[in-house]
Amino acid sequence: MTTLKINGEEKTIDARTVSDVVAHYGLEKNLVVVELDGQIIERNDWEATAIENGMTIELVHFVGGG
Amino acid sequence: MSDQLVIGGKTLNSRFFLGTGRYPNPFVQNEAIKASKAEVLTFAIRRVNLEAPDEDAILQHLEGQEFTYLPNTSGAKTAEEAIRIARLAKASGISNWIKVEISVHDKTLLPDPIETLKATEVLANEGFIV
Repeated sequence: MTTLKINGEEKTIDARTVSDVVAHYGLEKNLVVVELDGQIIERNDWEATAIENGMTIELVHFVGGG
Repeated sequence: MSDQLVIGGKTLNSRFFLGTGRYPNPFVQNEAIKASKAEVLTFAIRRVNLEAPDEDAILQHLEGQEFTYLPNTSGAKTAEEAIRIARLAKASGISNWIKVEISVHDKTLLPDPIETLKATEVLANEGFIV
């Protein structure tokens, strides 16, 4: 289990990589962008990018706006 | 005389850029988009609602249609914040266009011209169509 801040909230989830985090929320097929500790992680690198306790991850997507 | 608009090498037959917010439902949104004949749609970037990840995900309602997507940096109060949002948008692969919106007043949303210029210079140098 890994404890990290996800979209501003501390969460403990069963995840070892960015890919695991995305899958935990069922977002694999969504157009979502990941930022880990301030760095954008390209989709191709999700599987290879490890996450550790204390990291900050942002999952963002496109919403209606003008 | 052609009435086409060319921006960043892209030729548009409509000068209407349509926002995607505040529709009561996706059906009305899609009907409005069709009626407008807009070829450019603007939208915002926000954190995924982890309690309802598919909520608000606008692009799912536009599948099968072709548009030029124009993300905006709404929510940014500084050039730094706008640049970060723009880079997140570009990382999606969906567009290198960006509408810089930097406002320090939540109610009026009036733009900050100094921060807007700062962000524009950085983003234009990074290859964005601003």
